[in-house]
Amino acid sequence: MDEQGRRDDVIERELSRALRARAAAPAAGPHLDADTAAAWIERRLDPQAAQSTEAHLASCADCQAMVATLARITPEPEPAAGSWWSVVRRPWLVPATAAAALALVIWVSQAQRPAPSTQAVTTQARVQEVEPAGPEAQQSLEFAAPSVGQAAADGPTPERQRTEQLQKRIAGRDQPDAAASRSARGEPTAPAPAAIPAAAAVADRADAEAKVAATPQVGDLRALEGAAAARATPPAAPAAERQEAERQEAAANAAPRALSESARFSALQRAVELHVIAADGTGRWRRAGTTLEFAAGPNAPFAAATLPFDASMLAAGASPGGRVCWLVGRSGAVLVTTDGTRFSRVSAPAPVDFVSVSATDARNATVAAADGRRFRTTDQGATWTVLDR
Amino acid sequence: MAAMALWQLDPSTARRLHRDAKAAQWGVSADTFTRAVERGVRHALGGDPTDPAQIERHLKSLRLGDLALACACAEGHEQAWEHFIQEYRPMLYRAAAAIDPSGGARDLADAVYAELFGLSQRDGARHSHFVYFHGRSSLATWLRAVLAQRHVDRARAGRRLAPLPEDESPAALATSPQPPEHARFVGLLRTALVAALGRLDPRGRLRLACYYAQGLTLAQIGRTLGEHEATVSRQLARTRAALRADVEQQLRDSGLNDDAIAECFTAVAGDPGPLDLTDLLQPADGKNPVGGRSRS
Repeated sequence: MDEQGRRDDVIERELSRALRARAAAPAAGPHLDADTAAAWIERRLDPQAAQSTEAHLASCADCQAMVATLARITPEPEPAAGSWWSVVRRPWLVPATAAAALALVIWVSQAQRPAPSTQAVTTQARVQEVEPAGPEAQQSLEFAAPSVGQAAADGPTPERQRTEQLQKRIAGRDQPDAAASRSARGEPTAPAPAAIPAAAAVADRADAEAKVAATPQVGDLRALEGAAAARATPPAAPAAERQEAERQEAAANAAPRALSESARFSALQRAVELHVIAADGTGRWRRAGTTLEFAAGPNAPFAAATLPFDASMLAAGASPGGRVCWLVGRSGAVLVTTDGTRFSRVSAPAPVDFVSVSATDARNATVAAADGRRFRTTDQGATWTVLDR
Repeated sequence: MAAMALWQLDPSTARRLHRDAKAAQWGVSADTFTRAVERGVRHALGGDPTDPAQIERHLKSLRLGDLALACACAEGHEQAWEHFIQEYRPMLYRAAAAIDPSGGARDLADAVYAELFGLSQRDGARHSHFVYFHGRSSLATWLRAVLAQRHVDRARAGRRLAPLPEDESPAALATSPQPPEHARFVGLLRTALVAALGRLDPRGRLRLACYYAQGLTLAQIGRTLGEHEATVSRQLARTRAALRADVEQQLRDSGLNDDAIAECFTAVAGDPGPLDLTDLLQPADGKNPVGGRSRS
């Protein structure tokens, strides 16, 4: 240690010793009363009184001890709710803002198109063509965007290329966006991000859109469906099924203003792969065509699970952990399993299409309907409560 | 000789304050509330304040709602007490638990509560400690301050009864063998340090005392002094550096050369003796800025 550092240490030690000795020495004379001390610590004294109080505190060990005790027992103030910096520091805000901005860009670009006929369908078809084949590839790309490189090589227009790139970027940001949306609503988020299927993320955004405008806007719907389509992983589906999907998409685009909630749900459902992973990683569920499969661990093989109906009815699922899994889908479909394989249908809160679910255990879950309503159960679906929008 | 008239609130202001405080909800009359406000003004600004602007500033800064509640509790208003018990008593116990997590300060909180309720009587009337709350802070902070005050009083009373530690007793110091120049160097440096401390501004001394004597964290000091934690850290470092430079300069001024100054620091570094500096941290002018107010 150099000489300066040694001297600093000596000064510090002497300061500590001297000030402690002073604090322990008997203090005489008048002291601050509680009223003055409290007003001083809340900075409510006028400058002159504050100055004289501070001067007294600097020389009175008794009052220093009182103020120090007061400082110790006063709880830390909550950060100001309205502080712009506290808002900026929220971790979800950056991805949420970026996603919202991208959605806006897509909406603008789509709305500016003169003829909204079949271009979106063509885009989706191209995206589907470059999807990897095989279930393992599907799994790894659950939330990943499809590659647009090959589509570009096929000679897309610059506008289409830009749209595809935007869709790809949206797909990559979906997860935090959805979590942020749930968090902002005060809704319990699913324990593991992977447990929230892409459908839930899309549905949340659709939910948010529905709140902004009571009447669905064509551009909004198209942007949402475009984003969902960009994440599609349909190569396992037969070619005929794919063609049928394209046909339906084309029909939907031909009359976009007449697009019903049901049709939108249908479009979203087809576009999004269903893959649920338990929060603790001990169980996985995935849709394979019209069946649902379950794997009892990260490396365990998938086996067919028992459903009361076709898996194509399903839209989303969530697993809080272990073998518990909730699934929701079309026409009031709400299912739950506690052993991973046997799903039972529970009574639905309404005969509507459900687009997302979050759950904390086998009894507590919240489902969101395509019309924007949300319902919560605390008794495995025996009763439901409508949540405020 | 006629007694000097005490300062009084004008009736229109008194009515406005009574209304703003919603004192009527606790059954506090305008007269009672006005007397409480006047008591607070005289306490804060002196017996006969003359500066209207200063009085207005004071009145504007009052926590009128809390003052109304305190008035009602002092008068024994049942609903006010229920509200106080529900809202503030748990906070009082939490503060006691923060002082001593093992529960040792719980009786202090109970004692404060009894004082607030007014178990003691003065001139045949129940005397509630609430009359000492003047609304200059929130009621919660005032309650914590009262509790902190009781805690310090008790700790100090306990220390008076405790014997001095063996190794710091004067006898032990007297028998410590020291080199011939040691005592002189130690004395010189410590005297210089006391002088340097005396030249610090009050805030600087208070910051040092909070850190070294009271053991507050930087964050706690920051909240107490209204400074950012980083500012506290930076200021402490600056003050230490300034003190060292001041001490060195004083030693130089007393005729010591650089080698002797270095020996001073070496002597103090190896000295285990305690320091009894009763004059330490006293303001340079020796005045007590608080005046003759006694603790309440």
